[in-house]
Amino acid sequence: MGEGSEELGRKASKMLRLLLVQRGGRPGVKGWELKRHFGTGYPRVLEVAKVEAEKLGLELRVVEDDENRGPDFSRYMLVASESVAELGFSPLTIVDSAVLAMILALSYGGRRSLPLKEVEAVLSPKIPHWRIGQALSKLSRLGYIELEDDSVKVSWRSRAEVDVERLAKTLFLVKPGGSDRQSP
Amino acid sequence: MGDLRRRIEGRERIVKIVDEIEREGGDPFLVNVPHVLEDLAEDYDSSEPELLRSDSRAIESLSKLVKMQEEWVDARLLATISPESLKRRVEDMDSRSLAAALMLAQKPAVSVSSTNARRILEGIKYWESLKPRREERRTPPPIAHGTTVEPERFDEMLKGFEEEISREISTGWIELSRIAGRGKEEHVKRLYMLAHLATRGVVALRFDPGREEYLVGPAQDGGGRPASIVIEVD
Repeated sequence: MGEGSEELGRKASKMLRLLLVQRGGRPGVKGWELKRHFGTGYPRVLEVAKVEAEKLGLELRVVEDDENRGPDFSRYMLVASESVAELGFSPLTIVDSAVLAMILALSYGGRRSLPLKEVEAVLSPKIPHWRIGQALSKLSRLGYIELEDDSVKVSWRSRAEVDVERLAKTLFLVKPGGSDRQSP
Repeated sequence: MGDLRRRIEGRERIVKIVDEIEREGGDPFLVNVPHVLEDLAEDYDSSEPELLRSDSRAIESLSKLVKMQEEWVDARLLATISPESLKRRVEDMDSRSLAAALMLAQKPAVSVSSTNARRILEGIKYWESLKPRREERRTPPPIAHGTTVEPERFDEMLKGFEEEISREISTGWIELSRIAGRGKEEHVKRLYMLAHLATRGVVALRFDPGREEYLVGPAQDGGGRPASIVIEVD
C-alpha cells in the first residue's frame, strides 16, 4: 500500500532536517544513512524533500562516490540556489577560490588527477608558494580536493558546489587584468 | 478594424514562429527581437483587450526566444572551449579574476552545525591548557633621556673607570653585573666606557653559558675577536 501524502510530507521534513545538520564537519548525508532512517523507499522521500528545499531557496545535490557504487553510497547535500557572487559571501577566501578555480580549469576535459608540481607551477606567478600550500591544505580539509602524494584530485564538494561548464564559460567571459593583489 | 486584425495576426505569427523554433530546434536568431519589441511598443497606449492579450502572448514567446538564444550562445561557446585553450586562458588570468569566475559558478553548501554544553566546556579547558605563544607583551618603559658627555670630561672619566676596572679584574674574570652603575643612566655610561676599553684591547668580554652572563677580564695577548654584543639594561 502506498504512503499517504501527509506521511510522505512528514518524512520529507525530517529528511530536510537531516540534510541540513552538519555531522563530522561535513555537509550532507550518505545514502545508506538515509536508508537507515527512511527505509528502502528513501529515494521517493528525497523527491519530495527536493521540492520542499526549492521552496526554501535550496537545491538538492547528489554526489556519486568515486567507485560509482550506487545511490546508497552517494552523498546527498543542499546547496544555495544562488551563486556565491549573488549571495555575497563565500566559504573560501579570494586566494582559496583562485586556487580551486585553477585546479578545476586544469581538470576540465576529464583529467582525473593533476600532478601537484603542475598546479604549483601555474599558480606560482600569481600567488606566493607558502600561500598555495596553505590554500591546498584548506581545500583538502573542506573536501574540495584530494591531495595524494604528488597529485591533486577534484573531490566531492567541488562536484556538488561548482558547475564546471559554467566556470569554463565564465573564465572566458571574465575580463582579465584586474588587480593581482593577494588577499589573505 | 482591419488594422487591428492585422496587428493581432502579426503577434500570433511571432508566437507560432517561436513555438516552431522550440519544437524543431531552429535558429533562435531568425527573429529580430528588437524590431518586434519596437513594433509592440507602438501599441503601448492601446486599450483593446484582444490586442493586449496577443501582446502578452507575444512577449512571453519573446522571453522564451531570448532564453533559447542564451542557451544557443552558451552551447556554441562551450563547443569552442578545449582543455588546452582553457589552460592557456587561466595561465594569463590574475588571482582575482580566477576567484571572480569561481564565485559566479559556485553555489555553496548550506548546513547547520550545532554544538552542546559539554563540547563548549571541552573547548574552554583546551584553550586554558594552551601555553601562551609568547610572553605577554608589556608596554616598554619610556626611553631614558640621553646622556651627554663632554669630550674632555669623557677622557677623564674613562681614565678613572679604566683604573677601577683594572683593579677589579686583577684577580681574574668578574661578572659584568659587578661593574653595574647606580641607576640606568649611570649603568649605560659605565657600559659605554667598558665598550671603549674593550675596543682598545684593555679588557675582554666572554659569555659564560653556565652562569648565563658575560664576564669581564684582562685582554688576552693578541686581542680577541671583535664582535657586537647586545646587553640588556633593566
